[in-house]
Amino acid sequence: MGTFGRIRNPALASMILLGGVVPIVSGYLLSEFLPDWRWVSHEFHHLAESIGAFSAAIIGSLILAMRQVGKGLPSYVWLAYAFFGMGVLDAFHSVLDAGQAFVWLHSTATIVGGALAALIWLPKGLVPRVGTGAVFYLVLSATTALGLVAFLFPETVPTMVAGGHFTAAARALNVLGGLGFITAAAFFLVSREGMGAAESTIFATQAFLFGIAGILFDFSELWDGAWWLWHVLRITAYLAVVIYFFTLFLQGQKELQAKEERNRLLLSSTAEAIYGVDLEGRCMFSNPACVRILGYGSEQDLAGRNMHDLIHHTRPDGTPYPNQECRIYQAFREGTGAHVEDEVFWRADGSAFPVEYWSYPIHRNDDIVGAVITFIDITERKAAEDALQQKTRELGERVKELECLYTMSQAMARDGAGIDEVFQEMVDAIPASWQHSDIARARLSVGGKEYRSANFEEGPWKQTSDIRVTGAVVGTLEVHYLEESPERSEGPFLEEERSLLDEMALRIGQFLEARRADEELRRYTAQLEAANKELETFAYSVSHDLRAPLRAIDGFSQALVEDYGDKLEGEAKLYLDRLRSGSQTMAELIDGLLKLSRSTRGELRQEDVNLSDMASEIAEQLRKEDAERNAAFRITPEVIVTADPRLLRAALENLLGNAWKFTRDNPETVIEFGARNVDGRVTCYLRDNGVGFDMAYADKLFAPFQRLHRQDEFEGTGIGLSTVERIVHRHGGRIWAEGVVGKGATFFIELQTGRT
Amino acid sequence: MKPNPILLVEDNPDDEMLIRRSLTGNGFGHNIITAHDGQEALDYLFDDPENAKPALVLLDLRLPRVDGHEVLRRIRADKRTELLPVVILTSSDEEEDILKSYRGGANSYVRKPIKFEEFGKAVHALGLYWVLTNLGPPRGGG
Repeated sequence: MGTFGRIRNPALASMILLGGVVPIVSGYLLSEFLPDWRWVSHEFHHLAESIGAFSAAIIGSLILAMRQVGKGLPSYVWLAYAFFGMGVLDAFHSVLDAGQAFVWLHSTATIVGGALAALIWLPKGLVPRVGTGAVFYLVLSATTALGLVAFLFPETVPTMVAGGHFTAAARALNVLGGLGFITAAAFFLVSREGMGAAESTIFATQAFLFGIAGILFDFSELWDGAWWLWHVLRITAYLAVVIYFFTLFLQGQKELQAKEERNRLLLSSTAEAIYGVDLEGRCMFSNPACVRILGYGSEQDLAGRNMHDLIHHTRPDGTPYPNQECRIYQAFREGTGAHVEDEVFWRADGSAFPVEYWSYPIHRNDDIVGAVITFIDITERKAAEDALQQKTRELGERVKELECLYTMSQAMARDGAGIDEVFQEMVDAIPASWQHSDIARARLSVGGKEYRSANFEEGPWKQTSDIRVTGAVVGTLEVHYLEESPERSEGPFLEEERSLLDEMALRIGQFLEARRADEELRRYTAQLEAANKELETFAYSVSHDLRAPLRAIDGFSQALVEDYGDKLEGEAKLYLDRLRSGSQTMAELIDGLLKLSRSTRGELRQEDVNLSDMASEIAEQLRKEDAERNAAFRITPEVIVTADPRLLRAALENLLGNAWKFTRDNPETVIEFGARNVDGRVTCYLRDNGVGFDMAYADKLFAPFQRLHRQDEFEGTGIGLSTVERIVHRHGGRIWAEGVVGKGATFFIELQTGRT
Repeated sequence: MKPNPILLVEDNPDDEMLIRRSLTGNGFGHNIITAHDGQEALDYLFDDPENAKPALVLLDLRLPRVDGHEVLRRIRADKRTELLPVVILTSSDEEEDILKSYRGGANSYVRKPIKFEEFGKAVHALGLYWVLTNLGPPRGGG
């Protein structure tokens, strides 16, 4: 498709000057100034024409070669044929001496060359195939036949020269041929896609020169100056074209070298290894990185070798990797690229390395001619990935172990879980925590019992840990592997599994210990509770059964006085009174004992108790009992403690009662109640100005039935302060007293919690 | 019409005698029937329809066979006796006994004092109050 562009000025100028002006002017000058100069030299003519013919053949070949590598335009093929045809006829012409055939061949050369050259204008579709096509042979054979006939049978050729002048036929052939060449020359004046500037100039000039030569044929005669001039110009033109092509070739070589150099540098300086294979899988090229990574000496070691057999013959798992399955060859078998990163390549020394590679087909025109493979050694990346995987796996193991311990703790901590239940659950949880869970079995033997995980049986490998309770071995915990461990290099069990097993055994021991302690505690508690119960029953009996006889003694003594009083004489009534008073005392003792026992029984409630209010109420009661007394109660308000109100009231009643009792002989009674708060502990005090006590007996104050006064001084059972002490102790508190005989006593109660 | 009797449930003969003495002293014309244990009391109340319905039950807690709490429970559980005045008369001053008795529907709780004067006064007052002063539930109401 000829794209017409601007007229090429350099080509036009060269064509007109060198192809037109120079030959015409010099021809004219020669015929004008040397009209009679003749030089008959067949030898020189032979030489000149042979050079021309030879050059024509070379030029034709070069043009075809040009087309072969895709240079120039397809239409150039016509130009090549023109040169071939002209060359063949000129070759015959060159060996003849002057005569009819001599001129005939020269003329036919011109007309054949001109006609074929003019065909350059034909559209692209009519251009014959480059190379050895029918047109090529037709041209060669036709011109050869023409040449042979003229050579062998000179008399058969048309008359070309008559009377020393060229005939009209000769002139017509040359003029027509010349016009053909000029037509062809015009083709090169127009810019066309794919046509170089130099070639347009060269071809335009040469074709035009040939054209002018043909037309001006009429104006020359054999052997004259102009005649020789045409020959010289033609040869010059031929040689110019040859030289042009030669420089073109040199330039191409240079470019090729530069390109190769560039490719070589590119291949050498890239870190990726690259190699190419042909359709048979043989190495066409490889870069230094490829050679180095594969462990070879030079590119030559790989050239021509079947790369699959050399570096790709075995899979990572050691099984053979047949050629037909090679994913690299997929590139040219299926024409698709491949990206692979789970295979290995084999080095020259027989070692393998993990590789990531890309394989892509190499296309020439529309055909796949091989594949180029780029690869990198991913040993480090794989190692990092493997390390990560290993870490992840290890972490998984740790998690499993933790889960196991967790399950164990949960089972042990569950309230009311029986020991059998706990141990069975634990044993069941063990195999899942071992690395090879499917072949792991666990057994716990303790206290004459065995707990086994599902499908337990003994295996060739086992791990054992002793279970100890207070240092003594009471059982064993075992884990069995039913078959030899798949990873022998690690030993059948992991170090962590050993620690886990020991840890579990330790915990089982602790659990058993705790259970034993619990049981003992439960037993003691039960015993204590039973004892308490007995005590309670005893106290209950005391309260009922000891009191009944006393009531009888008192009651019937009274009945005796009432019914038979008049019959009783002398001291009889007095004795009955003593009888009744004795039973009264006994009753009080019993009540005291009951109170004492009650103070240690029952649940201890914990609530805020306002001791100040409580003391005021009790004081009010005491006052009522003996309204005559001159007594002052000084009670600090808002003494609040956390305690059992019932017991605290009993304690306060006792203490206030004592204070009231031991101050009864005072003309003026002062009883003080207050508290001080130190570090969250409340210390209450109750101070009176009564008879006091000797500090030497301070330690006897709180002992049951211990009294510091005679009954006829101050009545009492000696149980009251014991009861108070027990109540304070039950609250985790402390009680003590200070006293001076005749001056009064102060009782202190320190309680753990409370506020003022 | 003869006044309804008082049912005394008491196992201790001394106490029984002292109580009778206190109750009957001052022209207290009531008949006093004694049951010597819980079972006897229940038998009297429920077994024989001929037995006169008591105006008051004086009930000790610690009794052989069936204890006082159980007797109280059965009295309150039966339509015929659910409104019968019951006074607990016992030696115990345990908080638990007191609470249990009131919860069980006792009308009063009296601890037997040691001193005879007090004891006599208390018993007498009880008899006076419950039998003579207190307006009992309507007859045939249950």
